[in-house]
Amino acid sequence: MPLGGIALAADFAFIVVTATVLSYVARRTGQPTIVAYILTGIVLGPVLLGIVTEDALIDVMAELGLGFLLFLLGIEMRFDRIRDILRSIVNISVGQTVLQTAAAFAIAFLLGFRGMDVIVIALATVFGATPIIVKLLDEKDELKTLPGRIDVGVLIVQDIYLVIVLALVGAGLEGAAGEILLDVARILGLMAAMGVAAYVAYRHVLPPLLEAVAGDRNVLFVVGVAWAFLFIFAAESLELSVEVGAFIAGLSLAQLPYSTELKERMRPVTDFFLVVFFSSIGLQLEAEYLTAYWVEALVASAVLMLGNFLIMFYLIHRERFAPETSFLGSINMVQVSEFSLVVGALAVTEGLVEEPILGYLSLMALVTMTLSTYVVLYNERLYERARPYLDRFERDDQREAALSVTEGHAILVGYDRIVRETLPVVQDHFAEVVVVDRSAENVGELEDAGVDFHYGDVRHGEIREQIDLETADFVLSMARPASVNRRLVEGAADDAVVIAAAEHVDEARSLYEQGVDYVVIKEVLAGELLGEYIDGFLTDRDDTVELASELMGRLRDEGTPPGAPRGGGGTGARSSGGDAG
Amino acid sequence: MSEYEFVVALTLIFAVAAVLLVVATRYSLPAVPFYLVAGVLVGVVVDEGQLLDLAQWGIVFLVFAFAVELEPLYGSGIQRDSTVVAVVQAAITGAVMFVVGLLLGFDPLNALYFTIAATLGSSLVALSLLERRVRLRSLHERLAESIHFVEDLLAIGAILLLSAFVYADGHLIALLGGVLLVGGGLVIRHYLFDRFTAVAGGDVEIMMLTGISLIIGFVAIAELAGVSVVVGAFAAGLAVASEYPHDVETLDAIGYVEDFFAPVFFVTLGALLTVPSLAVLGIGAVLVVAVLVVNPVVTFAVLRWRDYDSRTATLTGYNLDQVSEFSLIIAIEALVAGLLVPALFEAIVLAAIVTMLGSAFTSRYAGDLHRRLVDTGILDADTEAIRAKSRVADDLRDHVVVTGYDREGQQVVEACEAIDHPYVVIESDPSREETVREHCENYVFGDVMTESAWEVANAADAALIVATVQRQAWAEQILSFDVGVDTIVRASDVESGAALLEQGAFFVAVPDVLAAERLRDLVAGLLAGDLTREDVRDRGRDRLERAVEYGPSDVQRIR
Repeated sequence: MPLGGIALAADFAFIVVTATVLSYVARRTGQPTIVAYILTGIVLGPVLLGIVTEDALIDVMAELGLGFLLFLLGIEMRFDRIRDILRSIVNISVGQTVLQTAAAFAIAFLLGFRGMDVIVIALATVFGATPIIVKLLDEKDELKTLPGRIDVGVLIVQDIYLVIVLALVGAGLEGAAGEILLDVARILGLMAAMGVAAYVAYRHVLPPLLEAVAGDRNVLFVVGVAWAFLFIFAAESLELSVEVGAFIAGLSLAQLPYSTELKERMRPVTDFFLVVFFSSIGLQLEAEYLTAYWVEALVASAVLMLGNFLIMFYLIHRERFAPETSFLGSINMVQVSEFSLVVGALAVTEGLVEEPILGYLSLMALVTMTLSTYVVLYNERLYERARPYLDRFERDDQREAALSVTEGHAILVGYDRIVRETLPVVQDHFAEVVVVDRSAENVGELEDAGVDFHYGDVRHGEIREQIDLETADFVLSMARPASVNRRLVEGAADDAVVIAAAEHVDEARSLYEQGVDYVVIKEVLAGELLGEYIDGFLTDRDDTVELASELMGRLRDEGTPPGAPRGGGGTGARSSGGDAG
Repeated sequence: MSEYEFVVALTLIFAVAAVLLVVATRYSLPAVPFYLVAGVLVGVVVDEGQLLDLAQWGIVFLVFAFAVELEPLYGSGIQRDSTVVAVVQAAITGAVMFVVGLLLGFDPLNALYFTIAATLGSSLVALSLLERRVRLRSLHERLAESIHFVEDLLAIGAILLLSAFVYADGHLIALLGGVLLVGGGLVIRHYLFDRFTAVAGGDVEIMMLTGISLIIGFVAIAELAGVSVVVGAFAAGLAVASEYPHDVETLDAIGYVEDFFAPVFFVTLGALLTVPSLAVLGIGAVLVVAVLVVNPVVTFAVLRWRDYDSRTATLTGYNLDQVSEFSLIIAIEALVAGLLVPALFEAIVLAAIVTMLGSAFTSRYAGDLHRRLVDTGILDADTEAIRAKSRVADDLRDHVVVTGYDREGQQVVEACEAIDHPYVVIESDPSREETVREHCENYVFGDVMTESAWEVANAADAALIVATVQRQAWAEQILSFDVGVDTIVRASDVESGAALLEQGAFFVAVPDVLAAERLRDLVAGLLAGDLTREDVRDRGRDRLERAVEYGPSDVQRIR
């Protein structure tokens, strides 16, 4: 036999195919894919068909998925996007975490859970599922609204809390109170030590390392994966959980200019492994586990959805936001986080609780996630309904809701010679200029010029999101390949001026058809000028030679390597024509 | 393998690979041999047998990605020639190496594996060595690219045949299964894939899962039919339509998953090596010689037979001189099936490392090698052959020499014709041969990188040389001929422009500089309100119309 047995024999092949089919169903019913993945496990596992059991490969893939997920969360810890409301967000997140843990604890206690069960349930019941909220708001174009930003900000801060919970549960909190305390201290100490190592790397090791490989994005990816694995390995060796290591690894990369690009590269692999992870949760459940506490799960879901809405509303309102912001910001967050399942699964592995508790948490996740999807989809309508009752929350010292979505700015893509020449002209007319480039070699120059620089490839949705493409007034793109420019035109507002580069006439024509205002074909422009010069050389040689030698003198000055004094019209000395876009 | 061991293994794989890749990028070397070397290092500590599952996924994704990017190449002259060259070259080298294999004492089957390893070149490595800007690829690079393409298809065919006739019992059923799989892939591509995209509403995550599910589905059918998983992955790749709009994000997403698994495959392969015995080294050396010497010589001969000049033939041959990644896949399939002699397997992997690194150097220095061979008289300078194909007026003096009848070249020719100044075009691309014959008064069919072409063009008596192609190596080469005539060259950026001035260029056209000034004025006018959006649009359309007059673009095939 040749190599084989990877599709037929491997259980995880079943998982992926089933998950694909179910995700189409989810898509048709407006549900998030994560619900489809959890259901995949339930369908294939002992509850329904029982054809797939957890094997070693599934375990490893699930573990990798979780590790990479935390790595991405770490990378996402960029505070600059929420800087202006950071204080409010920290207040809200801390309040929400405390109050809603208390609520979950109370409900669980009232429903009859006792001992470690109630502690795990309280720790695991966290509200606000990133994959659901971010995806739905993104599709509704509400990610940039004030409520959207508050939600995303709260989710980011919450992740820090979750990582600590994971570290604690992962260590299997057992024994006497004193031992637990010692354990906690040890864990926090080790985390701090890894944090320090990560910080030192962030200051001294990573910038030169990543700069050396940023030119080749495949290598950047491999280096990123290696970095994640190094920390995962370190965490495992120190008997911390994998997740903690991955998170710290991501954190050390977050503030570097390469983080978004790296994150976009890691996401598909992570998604792929996460399918296996979320399915594996369903696989662990027997039918009886799932039904053991079904009444309790439904009651808790109902009470906590409402309770968490009220808690969030109170907290956002207390930060002096308008009732509409408070309402929308809190109604988006009424589902159990995907981390409930992560914490629950870990607690089962560590032997802290029995499988029925995981069943309880899974059921709650399924119910709240499914319901909340429609809540988020129709949040505006719900607000209209509730509006008459919200008037009393109007207050005088309310803060202005207008929060920084960049508007009316200029976006320049691909920092090459042409864009560099044009930049000053554009800066004269726009207060805010954003530059996106795949090469990081001009960072210093651009920072000096006072522009907002984004490293990465505009073909990634995330980058287009960050630069507020849809509200820009002016877009100049030298990006390759043509499809990227098409994306830019589609994303830009109709009344924005769009100038894009094409490499040949067919491409230029199709860009014009798409609504580009001016298509630059470098070679054509240059060829015309060259023709004029040659004409000059052959007919009026002396004058042309003089003109040419003046131009060549300038070229010679400009082209001298950095370090030597610069000549010419004060433009930069280096060009990255080949790298543009 | 426990989870901890797994983490250790993956950490080692990626950490060692990352360190080596930093070195590779530093010296612009291809990544694949470094993955293999990383495997050799990692193999000292890690038990690679357990990684085979993940490694198989690496194979599957590699082949899948190859198939996704397959585009029907419409039969240009180059394409036809490449097919002939690839097939004839494979037949000749194959026959020779098969005999060598038998003489080395292999049984016929192992001799066949030996032959495959010696014959096929690696597109993954070779394409990374070519000029990145497809438009600027020279004739030999385009030839090499499409020969690699044909060779990869031959490899897929070989895998299909091997799995039908060697690994499986039901010969014809397996063969039929393979053919049906490929057909099924094409059917999905043409009739179903668009529906998937529509239902998924462009959700990248779902589309990525769809791609992976297709892979799994096809691979499962392949396994059922007893065909190699490679054939299944290839069919799955064909099923994924790669036209806009789903190309960008979905394909990127699947590509990134591949980026994770492909290194695992190559590293695992490297890890399978042990300390080589004398026999392994001997067989490896024979393979290296076959790949680095026999292959280029045969390619050279076949290309000369097809009437290509000696430089193109040499350089093409020296882009095809490495062991193919498909040979590695074939080798590991055979090893796992217990059919391949372990010594031969090790020799193949060793030869792959050596030749993949070696070809980075040979393709760098092939030009020099060719020049030396011409200087020492081993190769003919082709002057008379070039003269026979060209048309140059006997009394051509004070003329303009134009290199290449591309868009820029055409503009220069127009400028000359407008003032009735004599000119001669040097062109090497056979696809432009007819146009040049029709439109140009004087022309030379030869490679601008060889002195003989310039001799035929009577460059020494020219008034001006206009070298419009934007590749520094070419400009430098042309300047180094030092014919004593004012030379205008192009450069892609200011730095290399300044360097070319130092090397004696009389005028350096940097398109970016020229275009930048024009564009800056346009933007300034637009923003200041001197120009309206309509003005700008009209101006652009005008320019486009004029550009179209210079004939169809030479860059239809940009990815």
